[in-house]
Amino acid sequence: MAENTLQKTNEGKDLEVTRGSASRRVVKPRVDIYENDAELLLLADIPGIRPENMDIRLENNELTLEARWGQTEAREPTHREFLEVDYLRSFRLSQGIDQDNIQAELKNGVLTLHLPKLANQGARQIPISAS
Amino acid sequence: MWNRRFDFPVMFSELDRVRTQMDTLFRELESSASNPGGRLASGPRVNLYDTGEGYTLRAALPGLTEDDLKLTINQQTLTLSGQRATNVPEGYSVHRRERGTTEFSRSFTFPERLDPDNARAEFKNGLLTVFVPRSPESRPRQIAISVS
Repeated sequence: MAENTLQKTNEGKDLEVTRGSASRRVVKPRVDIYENDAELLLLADIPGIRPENMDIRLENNELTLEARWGQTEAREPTHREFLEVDYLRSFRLSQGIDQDNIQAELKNGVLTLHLPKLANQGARQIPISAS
Repeated sequence: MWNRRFDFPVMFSELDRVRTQMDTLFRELESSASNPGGRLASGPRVNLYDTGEGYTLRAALPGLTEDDLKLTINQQTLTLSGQRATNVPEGYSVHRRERGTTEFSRSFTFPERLDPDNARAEFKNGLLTVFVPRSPESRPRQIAISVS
């Protein structure tokens, strides 16, 4: 079922995107996407992001998650294993999602999005494509 | 003459070896940049700052709570261990699973004794920040110079 409802346009190897002249690295957050009869459920790992720096937009059926790290540490670490990054990822929603009732929660560095399906869509397939 | 000519391929193969090592290094850096919340085989990625007074350790640990983490300090060693289970929620089918399940224990040994009684930790937005001071006898001291 997952194969039918999800267009796999991105297979993980290009999880990183760069954005023009932005000085900070922009990466695609890792996500889990689940589905039941009532909704699609999306979880995204975005450690270090404050809620006020998280931006969720829905435009022309395209859901965009954008998060900015915020303040950069003034000093360079003595030892570095990860970079402060911004997160950006888009998903295309079908008409089958009740776009007015999408719920978002940011907790412990994980964004949880509830995307309710429109009522009486029956067995209609809900395609999501991740870019 | 003969020998020198013979050495060329050896030299180039050595250069190739160095280049391969550099490529490997850059690939590792790239993957760490694109996966800030990701984990090494041995645990979460950390950044470490020497503040003079002590050390600040920062680790990206999305989806964990305080209860999932254990932090111990013993003399010169700080150990961070924890786990995260990303189970499929009940009744849901899976479209995509990129977030992993993890269990880790990572130790950091510092060049001097630490002061565990005055260590502080904050866990916010999936980012753990630990500050641990050097023990008083390990701290740099200002020596007053009296002029007579």
